[in-house]
Amino acid sequence: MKEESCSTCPTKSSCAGGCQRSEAELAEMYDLDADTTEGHMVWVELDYSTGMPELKEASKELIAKARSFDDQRVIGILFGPESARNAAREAFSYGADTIYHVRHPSFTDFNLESFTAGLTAVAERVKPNTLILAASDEGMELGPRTAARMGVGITADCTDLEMDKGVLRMTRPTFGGKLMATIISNTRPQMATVRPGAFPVPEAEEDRQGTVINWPMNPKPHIEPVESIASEEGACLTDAELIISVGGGIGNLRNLELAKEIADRLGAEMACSRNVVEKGWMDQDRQVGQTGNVVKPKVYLALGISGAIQHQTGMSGSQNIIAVNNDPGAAIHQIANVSIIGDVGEFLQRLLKRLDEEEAADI
Amino acid sequence: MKILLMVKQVPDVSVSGMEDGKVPRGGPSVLNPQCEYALDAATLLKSEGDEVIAICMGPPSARESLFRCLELGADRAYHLCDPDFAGSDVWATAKTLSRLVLERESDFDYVFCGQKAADSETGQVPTMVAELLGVPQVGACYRLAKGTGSVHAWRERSGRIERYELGPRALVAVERGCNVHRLPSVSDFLNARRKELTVLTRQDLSINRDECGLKGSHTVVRNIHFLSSSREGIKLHLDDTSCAIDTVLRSVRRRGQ
Ligand SMILES: Cc1cc2nc3c(=O)[nH]c(=O)nc-3n(C[C@H](O)[C@H](O)[C@H](O)COP(=O)(O)OP(=O)(O)OC[C@H]3O[C@@H](n4cnc5c(N)ncnc54)[C@H](O)[C@@H]3O)c2cc1C
Ligand SMILES: Nc1ncnc2c1ncn2[C@@H]1O[C@H](COP(=O)(O)O)[C@@H](O)[C@H]1O
Repeated sequence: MKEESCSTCPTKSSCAGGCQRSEAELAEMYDLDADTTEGHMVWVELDYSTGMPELKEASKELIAKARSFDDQRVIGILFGPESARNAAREAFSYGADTIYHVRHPSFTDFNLESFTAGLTAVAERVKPNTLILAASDEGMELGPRTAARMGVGITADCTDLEMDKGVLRMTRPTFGGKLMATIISNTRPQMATVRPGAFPVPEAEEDRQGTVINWPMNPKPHIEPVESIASEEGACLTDAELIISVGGGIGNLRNLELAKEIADRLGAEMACSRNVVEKGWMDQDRQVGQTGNVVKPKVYLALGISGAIQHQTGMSGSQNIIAVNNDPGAAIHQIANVSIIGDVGEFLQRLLKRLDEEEAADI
Repeated sequence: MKILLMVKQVPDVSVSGMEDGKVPRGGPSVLNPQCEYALDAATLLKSEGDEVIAICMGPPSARESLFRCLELGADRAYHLCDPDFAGSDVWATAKTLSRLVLERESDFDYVFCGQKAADSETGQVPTMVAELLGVPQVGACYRLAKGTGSVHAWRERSGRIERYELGPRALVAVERGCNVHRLPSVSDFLNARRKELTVLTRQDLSINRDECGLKGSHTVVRNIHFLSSSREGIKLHLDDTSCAIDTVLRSVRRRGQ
């Protein structure tokens, strides 16, 4: 790869107006036609909710994970308008060396057809050894669609990745989460989608530099929804940072009310195990697990939940698990970062008392 | 309107105990629950003159799942059954299924799938089939309705509810909770075993041996083990001190950072 690139473009000024080089010109300019696979490519997903394009947490995780594999290049590919260039800088700070910026004003919205075409084109040019995507709603479609277009294998919804002398070992739950399978691919790039929250997000290295390569592309026709409205339920649970989840051990409705009050005061979302749904105490759309929601909050506070494997399937990706259960042998204690062996009702009373005291001290 | 319905037969994980660490073989199997929702949706949309064709790649026992589809309103069925298909990964599965479609039913209007299979849970076969057939897709669909010359499909994606109007030649993957179970018609139920069920082998579809099954797969399972996701956690007793409450509040407030 030559030194020059769009971020240090020979005709820097032209970039501001949009790089109009053809794919062939770009390929020649950057000497991209390597015949061996090299480097790890990550689809960098952007979030525009604050108005500014920012990296989704899952993408930060994947870039950092790819960086840890070996000393090969980490190549990010992102789709977005001109302004998404800022996100490239953010990607460098988590470990990307090169960012392909597939550019079009309309790419603020996910476009399966265009993104598949763009990802395929760049991957066929770069020939990376691995190509990983977050198993987000979008990644779960973009990954397999791209794999099918390239005719390569893909492993979905991995919870762990390991690099062993260039071979990617992909681990994912199977049989409803009862078993874990480790899978390898005999085609290149080795493709995987990875469950968000599977890996930690490292500290950003603010001054890390990298190269941006612009990849102009016209959007391809695709089907668009005729109607799109923000959904209120469900989404808040899967996106929640703090979840208070109750299980059979909550015991009675009085304790459930205490838990809800605490959730309110701490700004947490309420969730539950199937046991609680079966009792009719909470709605099915609040259930976490194999037959419910998959959540990945920063903190999952499990109150009186045994930690059955079907429940774990839905929450083991949580960053921090705090379990309150009076049975020291309960399975939940084995996956918890903090285990509190004790009675849920008492725990709730004490926690509420503490919140009251703090409030009183503030006034 | 011709609707192709891709169904999978899966081990009944709710009954088969896996406590000994072995994947059950020859245990009870069922029609994948999400495929059953796809079947409901297909039969719900069906009017006079429309055809619903169930397709399943699987071992001889998968015939039972196809009968179930016929009982519940499918008109015909294909069973892709050949030892050479065994061990297919998602790529080989999608390749074989789309080969059948292109060879035998290429004039389809819609392809309906389940979103995920209860055993493998990859959720990738539908997307790969859509790509190999060159049609657009709507996944994770939780509601379907008939439009004029189109199908309305609702899905939720990243916190938004989207409604699509799909003209013919599209694939829909249906998720749990799609529409409602319909009571089968008595005649469908009684006639199921008289409906056409075509069994096809690798050779019937002129697929090369190394293009299907284990040989045609691009991914290989290296090992299977029990979940042991134990974390090195801190253990605290609620009785000990107020330390437990402190710890909880601290990590809750810092959101675990
Ligand atoms: C096919 C299938 C799918 C399933 N899908 C799901 C799913 O999606 N989600 C799900 O959650 N489950 C699911 N289940 C059910 C799952 O197997 C468990 O039965 C369920 O998760 C148990 O819920 P629980 O832990 O809340 O209740 P319990 O098993 O009743 O456990 C209660 C826990 O609370 C503790 N406890 C009791 N009293 C107190 C107290 N006073 N103080 C502190 N702790 C106390 C006990 O020690 C125990 O560990 C599924 C099952 C099957 C077969
Ligand atoms: N062997 C198969 N035969 C027919 N359809 C299948 C097969 N495998 C997967 N599918 C379809 O793809 C969906 C998702 O399966 P999976 O990608 O394996 O999770 C299923 O619900 C079926 O609609």
